[in-house]
Amino acid sequence: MSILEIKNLHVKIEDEDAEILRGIDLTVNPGEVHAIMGPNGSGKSTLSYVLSGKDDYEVTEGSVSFNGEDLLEMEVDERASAGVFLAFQYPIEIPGVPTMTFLRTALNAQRKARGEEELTTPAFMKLVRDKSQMLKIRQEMLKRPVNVGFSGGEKKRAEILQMAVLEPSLCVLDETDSGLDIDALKIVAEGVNALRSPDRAMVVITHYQRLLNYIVPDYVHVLSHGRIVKSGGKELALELEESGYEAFAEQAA
Amino acid sequence: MTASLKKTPAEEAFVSGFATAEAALPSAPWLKRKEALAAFGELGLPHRRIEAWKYTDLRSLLGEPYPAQTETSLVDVEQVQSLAERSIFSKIDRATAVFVDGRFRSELSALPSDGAIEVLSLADTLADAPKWVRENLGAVVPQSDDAVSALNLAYLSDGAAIRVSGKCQEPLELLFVHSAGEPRTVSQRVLIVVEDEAACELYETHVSAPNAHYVSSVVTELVLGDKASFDHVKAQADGADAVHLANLHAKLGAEAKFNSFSATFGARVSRQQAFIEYAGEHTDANVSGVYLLAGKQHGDSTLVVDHAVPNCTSREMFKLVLDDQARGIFQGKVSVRPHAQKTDGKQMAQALLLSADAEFDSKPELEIFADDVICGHGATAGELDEDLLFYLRSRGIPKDQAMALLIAAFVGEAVEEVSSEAVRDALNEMATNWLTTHKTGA
Repeated sequence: MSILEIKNLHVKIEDEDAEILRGIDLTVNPGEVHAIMGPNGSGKSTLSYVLSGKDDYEVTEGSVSFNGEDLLEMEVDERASAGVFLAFQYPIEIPGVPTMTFLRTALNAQRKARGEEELTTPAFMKLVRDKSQMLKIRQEMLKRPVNVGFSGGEKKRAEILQMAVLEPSLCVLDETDSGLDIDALKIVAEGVNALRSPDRAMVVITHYQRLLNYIVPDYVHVLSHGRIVKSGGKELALELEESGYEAFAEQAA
Repeated sequence: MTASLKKTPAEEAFVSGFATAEAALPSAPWLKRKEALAAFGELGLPHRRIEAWKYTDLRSLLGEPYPAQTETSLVDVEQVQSLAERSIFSKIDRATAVFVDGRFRSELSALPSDGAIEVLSLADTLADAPKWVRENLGAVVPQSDDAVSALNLAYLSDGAAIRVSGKCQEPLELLFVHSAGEPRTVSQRVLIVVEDEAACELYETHVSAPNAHYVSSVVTELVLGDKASFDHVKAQADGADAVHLANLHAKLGAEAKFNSFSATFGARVSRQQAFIEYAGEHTDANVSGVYLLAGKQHGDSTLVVDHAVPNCTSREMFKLVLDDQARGIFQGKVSVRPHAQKTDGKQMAQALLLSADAEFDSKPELEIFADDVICGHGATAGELDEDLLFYLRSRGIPKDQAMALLIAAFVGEAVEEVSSEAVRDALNEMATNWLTTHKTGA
């Protein structure tokens, strides 16, 4: 069974008329990495928000099933506990909530929702220490409030750390490369690649081909004006880099 | 103006009930109950046309008579103990002085064995009070137009007289417990004399059994000596039908440290006034607090800080979380007298409104007559940030839990002002659990 199955998905912003997604079809199987590329305004971020359940978006048509269940019927936190993770393009600062408290609360809430035992403090500490080493995250950073005072690169690494700790079955990475220099990009990509596994799938949303040199996708889809206008293998990303998005825009209009 | 108002049933009961009550209350010739009652008779209950009481019209909020509690009721020891366990300080090593329905209960208390601190029951000591009690009781409270302290003195039933002569080994908790029952007024007073270079940490807890209808009036007088230090943390968890009227009058010596924090989550109506006066230079005062109110709760914090001498600092940080139709009020007056140069005073009051029907009123008042000072104030009101909630929920944290985290984070900045880590932890836990507690009525 596929992890994610999107069928004819139409989405608009509440209280507005224009559709942003105009009939998306996408099937993601376990172990696969799908890249979704497209110009600004093509609907990439909208897709990630709809998958994670943000308010303000209205699905007017179509369906999304996640491991065979109707994802659109689930609350935001239920989706997370079921295994959906969105790495934000702009991770949000939460003053007053220490990163460790946040991570532990999230992990234990998910475990509780799945009927699992909460993790003991020592077991949790060890888990975070191991995962953060790989991402070169200093312990001092974890004591600070979530994302507060983090550099752009630190914020993205912190997102991947959350992903590593929460171990979702579907990772949606929204423009994870934006704002990263090449060194930071390598660290983040390494962290993401370490999470690739036969029973986990990834949807990598990006504007540029650069990220895909480091996180090599199995499939590439081109999104334009709310529709997937072309799908192919990883070589499609290179083709796009050559020709630009212009060529595809006409097909979608 | 007050004289022209028709007396309310509550006001009449306070005046007419005095003769009977006085006979039953502990007495001392130097305790000026009659004068206090006469002063109250003139003033009446404060109402909205008195500027300082504009947002808390006690006259209309006390709709029915609350006769003074005079008799010593039977104490349900088990109930008191189970209420005491709900004190947020219960997990911290401390000495305790327990007051039930306005009377000290030595059998339920564990007074400090430390030689640095002496704790007396006012009722027990009034008739034969030591000099330090006679000289200081009523000396810090200004002989003014404050109806709350006048009424408190007229009907004073008990309280604590505390003298600190050295550095205390452990904190002392004053636990005020109220049992269920008919409307009544319980008037208690706390006198604290901290001698030069002495230091102590005082906790104050107010709790009640369900269905307890009472006005709890507590007037605290603090005399803080030179180079002395006083840490005060108050948790007001009075019952849902209670009215809590608290005055804190503090006179601070030179090079002293005064740190007072209050957590307010109980009572139908509460008004907490603090009057801080600097009597010596190079003294720091920090008055902070957290309000967590829901339903139709009304909580008012009114501060008057008098920079009467130069070179002192004052910090005020208040955080209010208001749900349903709750109303929170912050009034902060800072006076800097002409010669009080190098005064450093900052004030901040912030409200988080969880409901469209909640209300926050803020009234800062700065009266600055010196020219070389740093003084500032700020007030904000806002809602929970939807983006923050979404972020937390997108990691699997259910909505109520995400809100609780954000509420605790919001009040955290004020909680940070508390010196003891154990108390900060207890306060954070309380703030995190508050939402669920008030939603489920637990």
